[in-house]
Amino acid sequence: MSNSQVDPMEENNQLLDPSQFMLTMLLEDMIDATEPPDFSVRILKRLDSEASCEVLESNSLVRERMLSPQAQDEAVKCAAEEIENGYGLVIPPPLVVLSKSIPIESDLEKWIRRGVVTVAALAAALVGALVIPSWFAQRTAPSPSRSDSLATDSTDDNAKLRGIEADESAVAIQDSSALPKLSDPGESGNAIDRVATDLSRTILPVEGSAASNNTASDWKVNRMGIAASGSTVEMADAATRPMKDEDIIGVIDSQLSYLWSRLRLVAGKPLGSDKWSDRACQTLLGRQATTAEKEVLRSSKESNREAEFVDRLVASDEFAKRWSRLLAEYYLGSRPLVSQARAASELEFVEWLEESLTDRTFVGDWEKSMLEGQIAEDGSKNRVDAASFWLAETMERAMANNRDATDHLVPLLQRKASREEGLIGASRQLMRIAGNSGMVCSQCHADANGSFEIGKMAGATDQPRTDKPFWRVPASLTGLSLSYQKTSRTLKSDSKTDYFVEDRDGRLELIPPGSPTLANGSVATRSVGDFFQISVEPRRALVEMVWSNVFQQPLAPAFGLSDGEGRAERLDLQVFLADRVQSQRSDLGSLLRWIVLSKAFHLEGIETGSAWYLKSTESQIASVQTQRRAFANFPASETLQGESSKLPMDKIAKWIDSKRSFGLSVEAALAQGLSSDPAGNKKPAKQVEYSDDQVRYLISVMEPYSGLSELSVRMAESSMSWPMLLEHAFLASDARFPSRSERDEATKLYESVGKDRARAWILITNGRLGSW
Amino acid sequence: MSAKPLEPSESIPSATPPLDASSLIVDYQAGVWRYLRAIGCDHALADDLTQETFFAVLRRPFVQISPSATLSYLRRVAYHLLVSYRRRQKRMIVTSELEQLDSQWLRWAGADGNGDELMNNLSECFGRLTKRAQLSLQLRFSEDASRERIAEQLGITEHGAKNLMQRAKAQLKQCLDEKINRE
Repeated sequence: MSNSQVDPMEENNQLLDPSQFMLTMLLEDMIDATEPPDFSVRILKRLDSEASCEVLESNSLVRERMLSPQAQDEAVKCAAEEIENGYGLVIPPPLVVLSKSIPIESDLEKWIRRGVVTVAALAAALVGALVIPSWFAQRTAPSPSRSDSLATDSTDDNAKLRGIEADESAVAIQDSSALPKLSDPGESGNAIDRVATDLSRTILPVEGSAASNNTASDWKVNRMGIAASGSTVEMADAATRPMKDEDIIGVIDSQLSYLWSRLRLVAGKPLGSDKWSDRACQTLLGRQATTAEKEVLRSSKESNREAEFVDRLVASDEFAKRWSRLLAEYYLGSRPLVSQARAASELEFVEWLEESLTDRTFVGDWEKSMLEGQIAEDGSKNRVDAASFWLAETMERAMANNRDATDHLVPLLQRKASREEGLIGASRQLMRIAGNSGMVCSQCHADANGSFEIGKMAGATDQPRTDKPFWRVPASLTGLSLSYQKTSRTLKSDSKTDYFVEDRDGRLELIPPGSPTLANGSVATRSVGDFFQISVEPRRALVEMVWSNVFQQPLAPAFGLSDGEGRAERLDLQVFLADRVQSQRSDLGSLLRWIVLSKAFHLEGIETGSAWYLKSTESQIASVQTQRRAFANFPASETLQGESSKLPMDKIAKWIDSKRSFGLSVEAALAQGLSSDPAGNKKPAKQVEYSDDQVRYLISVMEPYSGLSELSVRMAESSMSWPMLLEHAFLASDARFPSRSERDEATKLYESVGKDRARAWILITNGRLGSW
Repeated sequence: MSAKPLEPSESIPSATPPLDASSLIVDYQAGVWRYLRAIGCDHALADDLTQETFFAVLRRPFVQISPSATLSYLRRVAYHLLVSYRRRQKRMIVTSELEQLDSQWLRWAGADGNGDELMNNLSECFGRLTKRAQLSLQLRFSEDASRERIAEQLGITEHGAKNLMQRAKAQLKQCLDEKINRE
């Protein structure tokens, strides 16, 4: 048997040819004469023990479950459906493999082939000898009209190139295997192989599985390459080798192609060069491409001209200016508090971000700087430097908006606000950035005197176990996959220097002041700045932000997508991109480069103005929305607006209110297009002018994300107060708390819909999900 | 330990006599394990997921419609568990490629094959390779030898060793395909 314990699936994540891969796997077993083990005793004993509720000893033959009952149920359900749908009845035809096959020839065939090749080579040499000297003389002779002819040539070439591009795009959309792959473990040196091998180093064992038997050392390295051993936190060798940009783009294309084929979506047509340059400039610089820029792209004959074009844009000042402002919105919230006293600080913060972008700083480095900013001793928000502005700002919001935070923060700040203590108050905002994944266990038990009874919460979505009403809903929403069995572990008092622990998946958990932290080797305390620098989780949030900005649709929102909408594939892609940013210490420009050069960015958009919406049938609208949500078409250029240019909530609320005064529901008004008078008079009413934003907004309300309506009813029926409901709306959509201005706007909306809690909740959540 | 008889499902008419849990495991575990290995699981993971598959299936009433359907069903459960497992580990999955591997298994082993015949075919095909080709693959897979060591052992260059192994595998693949076509 092979000595290698590397997971071959990880090692060969990208395959050229499934038959080659499978052959390799089979050969390994055949040559080693490995036979399948007999598990019947183990399985039956386990089943018996479960049936009789018997508690088994840990050293018994019986293994523990590696997957939750829910995961098992889901697998069984999917399998049953597939069998019912005829899986296995038709043997699929052989795949067309893009690899070079090695023909096995007879001797006669070999001699014939060699003869033909020799004759062809002789003929080519003869032609070359006769033709090349005259061609060379022509090329080197001065020609007054050469520039003109070159210009014409370049246009033709561009037309050809565009054609080739279009063809390539079409192929890529249909062919999910259009990415660099390898044929054989250990025999390929390509980048994906190397990365896959690196990823395989980070396998986390599952407790109770056979894979965990030899994992004392494996536990040292988790997927971010962070070693956690006792109370000492070490940086493991996280130097995963870089992957080429084209390979990363290939993975994006492949994953989306698979998503489209699974959802049976037809992707949009490929975009022309001019339109693509407009779109790239719009995305990267916030404006359309100039004629000169388009000409540069047109006249280039390089095969990587688009990549060069993007590189030039990313290196420009305009890029740094645009994205520093978008980043500021991202870090501070969409509508930052603007006061005279703060404006200068905010501007400095934006400029600091701009410098970081210009220097192409690794994202983790600037986030660390922001988190390690010093807060003044008196707890005031005086900024020490631009990087710490975010911390001060976040703390103020936390205090202004959140009771819990105020309870925690004020005494802390009054006592003495060291930077670690200040971070506790800012933690709610942090959660948005720390993985975009909502809540973690300790928040449900954010009680200094509470015990760590978290294990029981895993999967208990109906009645999450917490006595903190505020956290009940987030616990329910996120399903709380984390599970700790704390009872047998040694706890020790916190040293009051670190308030965050990493779970075994590398996510950040908040530990309230005074709580014990785990001294066990499986987790380790860590300063939050370090966490942000070396963890992949914050990168996931950044990927999400950038992707949402480009495609106007979230890649993998924290809530609201069903499996039927490809949530799993999107999560895979999100994790992959975050991993790449982290392991390659990439800057924001690199991430954008991968996205802008992907095939999804090259698809034509569908112009969906208000006129289109009002004319289209429901099925057409649904179809386009489904495509858009899966990135199979691109949002029309008119929607490419910054967050700050969207209609504020209070305006929309006012507009909705005016519609309600006619006695019509919003949906009914839209369906009828107000072509008749709602009061019943025969005289047709004046056609209402919908703005595109309004229509899109309404459509998104009518076709909300799956499960949202149900959830809104659940939320509305709860006994929570409106401010608390509102916070949940933001937690559900953005995994963060609302800012002061967002809170004000949302409350106006709530009042404008007659304090209909469910209605207001769904409007807000839809708005936050950005589903228009 | 007694084998637990399974309850017949009311909704699905029973085409064959009810299968007890013990027989189900004994009859089908090899097929599931071989399948998991073939689609890329290492030994430990294949062991775990095979057991997990039977836990998942035997937690509820089960009726055998036909051996072929049972095997397909178990394989698909194993497949989905593998996908869940990898997602839980937050690792990149190119799901389309797993599907391609599944299709490849269907082509080579058939919907009702448990992999034994495939392994026999492979063994036969392996026997048809030249001694040098066999040795190179044995060194590669049995001893995890580097290309350099294989080349040294065979007295050829590294490039030659690589070509030799590639050719050998291409021949094996062709041989397997031919066997399938003949059948």
